[in-house]
Amino acid sequence: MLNSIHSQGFTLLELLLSLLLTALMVMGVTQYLLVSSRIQLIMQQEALASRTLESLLLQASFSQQKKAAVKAVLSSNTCPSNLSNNSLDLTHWCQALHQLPQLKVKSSNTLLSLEWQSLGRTRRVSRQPIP
Amino acid sequence: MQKGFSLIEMLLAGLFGSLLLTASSQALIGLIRYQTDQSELLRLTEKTTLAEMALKQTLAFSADAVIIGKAVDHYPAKTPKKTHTQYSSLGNNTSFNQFSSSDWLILLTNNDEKKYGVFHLDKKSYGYGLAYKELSTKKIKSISNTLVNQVELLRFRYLPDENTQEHYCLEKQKITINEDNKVKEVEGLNCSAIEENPARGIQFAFILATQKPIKKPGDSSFYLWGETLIPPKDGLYRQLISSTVRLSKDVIPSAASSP
Repeated sequence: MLNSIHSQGFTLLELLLSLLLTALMVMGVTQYLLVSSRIQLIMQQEALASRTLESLLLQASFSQQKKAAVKAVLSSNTCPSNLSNNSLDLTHWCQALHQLPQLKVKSSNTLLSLEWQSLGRTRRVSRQPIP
Repeated sequence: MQKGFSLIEMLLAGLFGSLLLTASSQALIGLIRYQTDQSELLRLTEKTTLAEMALKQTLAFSADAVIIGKAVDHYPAKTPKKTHTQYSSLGNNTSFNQFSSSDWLILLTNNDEKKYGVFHLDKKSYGYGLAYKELSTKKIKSISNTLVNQVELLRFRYLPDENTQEHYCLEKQKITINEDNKVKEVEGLNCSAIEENPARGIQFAFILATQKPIKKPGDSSFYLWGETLIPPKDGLYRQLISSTVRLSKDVIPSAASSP
């Protein structure tokens, strides 16, 4: 029907069909942008959470005092206001509190994890707990 | 039998067609912009990893001396100033260019052969960034190599002592900076109590910016170690990274070795 010998020029149906295809393509592109930006957001949040945990665990491994300080910070779930007096480097922790919605610290005997809400789901990054 | 369009059909098709053409071109422009931004962000991530690795590796393999030159201006000050070091072990005056809003760091890498190097930020013909220069008494003209471009700020601090919370100087010799022919001592360092209180490690932080402005809004301010850093509003996206490295000569405390 599309290419029959007798028809010359498009019929309205053919034209509408091609327009439909274009519309589908546009929708595809939009969908891709949406999904891709969501993935980007999640990746960024996960990277921040991992960095935060890594930096805190590394500092906790330095000494007993640091370990206690890190534990105190993790359980307080706030960014201390007098950072200049604090010997811990809490840059990433404060960034995480600011950027990850509803950030919670969950710690058990086997896991230390950061949990936050993003795009309607609970995301989690886990590491070995502080001994 | 030829059947052309009727006027109504023509109008209808024209209307739909132009709407769709606008929409699809918009979508494609959006796609291209998005991909460009995305590649900028990817480059930024790559560069932050590179800079972090470079600093971590070099610091971790440095055994002995670390002396800090403090930032003298507020961020962002991206005009490089020529900085001379007069360091007795290095004999001659060595100099390098340095952003005045950033710190710089001299490292003594270890063991049999003593090697000195300096981390600094400077601007070259192909851009600015994190650079490392080997300082030596033998080679009079050593070259400063740019390791990572687009690093805008570099800050160091000693891993402070547990009890006093003070930051220490590791070397006995004091260092003097000669900036614009003004000799002065490095401020804020307690170089007297060295042997009793060796610093365990170094904390570093840097800010990296994208090369081109992107749509994604960046942070309006960064908070680093009690200092608020306000980046310029030029549309560039910036990332602040901080980390801690222990120096290799340090004996690992028992707390860390137990599982």
